[in-house]
Amino acid sequence: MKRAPLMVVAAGAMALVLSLLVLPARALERVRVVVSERGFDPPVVEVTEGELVEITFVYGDSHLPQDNPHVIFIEGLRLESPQISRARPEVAVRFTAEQSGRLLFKCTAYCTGHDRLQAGYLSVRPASAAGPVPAVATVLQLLAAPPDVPGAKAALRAQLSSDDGQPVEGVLVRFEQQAALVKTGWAPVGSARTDPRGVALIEYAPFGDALRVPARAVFEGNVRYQPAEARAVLDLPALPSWWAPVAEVRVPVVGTWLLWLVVSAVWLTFAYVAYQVFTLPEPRAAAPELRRRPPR
Amino acid sequence: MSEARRLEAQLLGVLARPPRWYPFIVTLLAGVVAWAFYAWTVQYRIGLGVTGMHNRVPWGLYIINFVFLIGISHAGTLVSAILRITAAEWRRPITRMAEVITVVALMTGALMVMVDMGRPDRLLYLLRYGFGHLSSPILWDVLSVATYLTGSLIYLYIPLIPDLAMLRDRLGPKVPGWQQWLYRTLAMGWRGTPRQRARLERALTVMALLIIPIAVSVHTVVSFVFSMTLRVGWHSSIFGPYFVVGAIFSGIAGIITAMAVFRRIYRLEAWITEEHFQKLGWLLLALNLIYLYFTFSEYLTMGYQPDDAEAALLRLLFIGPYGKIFWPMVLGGLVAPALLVMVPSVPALRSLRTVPVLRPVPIALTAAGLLTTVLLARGMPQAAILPAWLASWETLRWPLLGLGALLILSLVPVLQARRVASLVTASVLVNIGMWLKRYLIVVPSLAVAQTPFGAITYRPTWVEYSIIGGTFAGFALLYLVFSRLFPIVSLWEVREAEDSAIREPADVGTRPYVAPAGGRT
Amino acid sequence: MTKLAESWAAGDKRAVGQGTLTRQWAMVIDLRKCEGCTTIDKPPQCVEACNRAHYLPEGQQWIRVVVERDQRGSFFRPIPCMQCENAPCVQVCPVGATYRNASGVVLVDNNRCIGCRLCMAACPYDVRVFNWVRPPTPPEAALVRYSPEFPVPHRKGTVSKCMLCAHRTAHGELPACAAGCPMKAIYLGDLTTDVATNGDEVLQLSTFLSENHAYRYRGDLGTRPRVYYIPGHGEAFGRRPGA
Repeated sequence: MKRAPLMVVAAGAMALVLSLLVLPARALERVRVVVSERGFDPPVVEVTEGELVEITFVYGDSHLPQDNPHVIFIEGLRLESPQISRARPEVAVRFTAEQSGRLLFKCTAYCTGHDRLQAGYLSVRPASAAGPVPAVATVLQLLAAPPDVPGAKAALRAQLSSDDGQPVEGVLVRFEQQAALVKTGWAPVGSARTDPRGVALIEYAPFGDALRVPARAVFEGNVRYQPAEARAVLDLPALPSWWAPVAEVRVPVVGTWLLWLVVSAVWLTFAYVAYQVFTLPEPRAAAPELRRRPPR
Repeated sequence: MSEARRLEAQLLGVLARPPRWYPFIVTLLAGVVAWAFYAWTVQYRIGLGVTGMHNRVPWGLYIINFVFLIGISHAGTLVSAILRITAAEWRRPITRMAEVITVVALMTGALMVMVDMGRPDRLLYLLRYGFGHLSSPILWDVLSVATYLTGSLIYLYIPLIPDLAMLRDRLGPKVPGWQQWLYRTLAMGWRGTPRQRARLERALTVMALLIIPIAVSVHTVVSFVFSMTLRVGWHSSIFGPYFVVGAIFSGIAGIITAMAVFRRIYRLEAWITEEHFQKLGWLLLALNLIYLYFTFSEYLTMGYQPDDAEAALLRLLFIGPYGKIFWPMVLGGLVAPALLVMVPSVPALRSLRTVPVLRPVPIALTAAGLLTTVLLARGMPQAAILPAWLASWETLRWPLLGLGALLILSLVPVLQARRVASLVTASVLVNIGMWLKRYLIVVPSLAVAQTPFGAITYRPTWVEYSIIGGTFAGFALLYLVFSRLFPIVSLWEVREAEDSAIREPADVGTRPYVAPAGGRT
Repeated sequence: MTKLAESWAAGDKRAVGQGTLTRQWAMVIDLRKCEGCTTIDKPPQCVEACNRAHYLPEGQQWIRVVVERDQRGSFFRPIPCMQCENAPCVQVCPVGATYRNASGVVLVDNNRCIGCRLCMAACPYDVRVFNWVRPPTPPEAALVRYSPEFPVPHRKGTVSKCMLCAHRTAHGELPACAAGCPMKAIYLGDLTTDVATNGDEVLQLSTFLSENHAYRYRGDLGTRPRVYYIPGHGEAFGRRPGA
């Protein structure tokens, strides 16, 4: 019984060694970025997805007469560095680059000379491109069911499987539709996770000004699987109409005709009065009344 | 000689030989009008930018004056038509004055809108395109003001015909040829035959009946220009009747003022008597109280809204920068005139005369002395002879207020002795107050920010003041020229009343001027 | 020039399949992305772009940026003409100088406007401006042939306002303010096809509005504006609402 603790320690050590062997090593990538009034140097930092990254921001404005502190914000990661200044010329931030893509980082403190040009990018390579474990290739198939009635919803069904035919479960598939306004682009219309059969399904209302609507499903890839994309075309029966004018609220019956009626009645009366006035003159002979003079 | 004959002689004398001051006044007024015209040419050349208006306060003195003048125009026709229909005998010497106010005020008022237009050269677009866009309150205004102007010109002209015939026959060669021609043409061959009288009577009755709804519609429609918008302080269903009552109110004040002026300059004291002033004064009081009531309900409703903009408007009006206009308008333009009309008629107050202390002159002198002391004490350095407490308003506030109250009380017997003077004072106050009220309707509502803005102010420039001054001068000028060419009192109506008083009513009926046998047609 | 006039006369119509499609322009302003151009330390770039594009005389702004406050703090709001579907200004114009075209854009015909300024008093958004004095005409504007869709050169004594860059949208261009916004916060939308774009991304308009709690400014007035706002405080660019 006295050897039991030793056994536990040994088992722990074994597990540790095993885990080090089995799990891919999480390398720590260190980068130094000089921040100055002229921007970031280097402006683009390349790291690999899933890696632990340490960026050291270095104060680069020592030549300036006044202190010019910076705070660097990395968008997407929602990460903000402590302030660097003359007093504290170096700060390091650590994070794991969880998703591949291009993330903006910029200074959010008010500083002289700052400009929007002074933005840096964190470029995260997909792990599959450089990961230690080669990812499995995938096949994505997209089925597009157009609506039978204009304006109804269409169904997009994507099936993801590895190249050996095994369904891939639980990954996110993004659906997009091509639309044109000013420029032609892929507009996101929804996303879904694949079920045990590897199927992701969404319903959405197609839009745009074309009867043949290109749609696509995108799997971005992850550590285990390579990205894949599939396209299909939705043939719409007719263009849906998304907008209809709303009827104005108006007082019933009352219209301009009423106004005209009233105004013309008034002016006709004016004409009648004018007629009375203009027929006042009469020949003298027809005025026997003249004899009767008013009393003075 | 009967009263009517003497009146005829008096006014015909004016027409044949104008008073000595006449050319001077006309030149003076014409000079003011000419200056206003110059200001307008500056505005036409450079644009409305020479005024104090700007994008946040796009309307200013011109629109204020337009509403005011259209309001004044209600005097006439409405008062004279209502009094004619109800056969109020005392109306006879004042109807013509009232009708002329209407025509002149409408002409000058319509001019204000043209002055306010950014493109006066496109005035006729209103006719060219307007009738397709009758949803615009401006079009309603154009229609109803044009109808009203036409109607009141007819309504002024019809009762003028018998008088014109008399001028044609009686003035003859005493006046220049063109004036004779004018009377001859306009008299329409009037000789006072029964057929002519019947036609005249019919036309006059129809017009008197018709002009009342037109007059009501005009100021309603003027209010619609404001109330059809979504602006706070304007978008209110009370606006139609509120404007109409305000118009008649200021119109009656206008008549009283004009009566006082003409009575003075043409020596008509024998015909325009205290009774006329007093009767119109009661009418003024009634409308004053209705207007106070409308004002009260308007602001109470507004103050009950939980709306930020309404609260902001009330703050601007009551305690903000416009309070300097609002309270003088309420106290000086509504409350004070009501008191001025009422107080002289309260018999109980006559006993105030018997209180020995209540003599206006000593009280006024005491108050003036106190005021001077305070002002002197404030103006001097601290080490002056006068004690410091004298320099503070705090100590003297109550004595001064008390003296003011005593002064008002002591003035009551004075007002009772001079009823006409107090009524005329009330009318002038009402006119000033109503002008200010129109200012308070137009400007503060525009100055309330609907979207975030800093303080919005409006400061009229010399161009606006000149043109407004010119409008009032033009108003007076037109009125004066009319009274120089035509009798300002309806002579045949005055004589008709006298005739019917002498004879049995059944025998006479209406009796406009009947031309003598030898008269020319 | 003739070509321009023709495409304007077409009212942003185009044939699709059997029928004709008429654009119904709308605008979406994403206040999460609008930080009043304070992070780039410049005057609002939408205003500048608009002023340049229309040769605006001094003192006029067809789009303006105001600071407002809500419970979370201050934010910036660009205010262009709302292109109301039930426009008070159109109702009150006595000569029909201001009207809605087939695409729902409220335009002003400066050759017809009589300068009564009732539309300015009627506009609840204070977006109308008046040419109080003769507006200067820069040389490059002098050659432009006037049309309500591109009201240049400006006319003295008449009213002007934002016209959603009807001259640009007709050619498939973004309005000047949207194109000039460095944060891409202003979207042009088409209600007929339900598409919106800021020049970078293309989106489904209705989804974009409903998922982001879009609202219309002073919507209680019932003017049914065509401009939508997505609430925000410029946080997309790290702006804190209190700032």
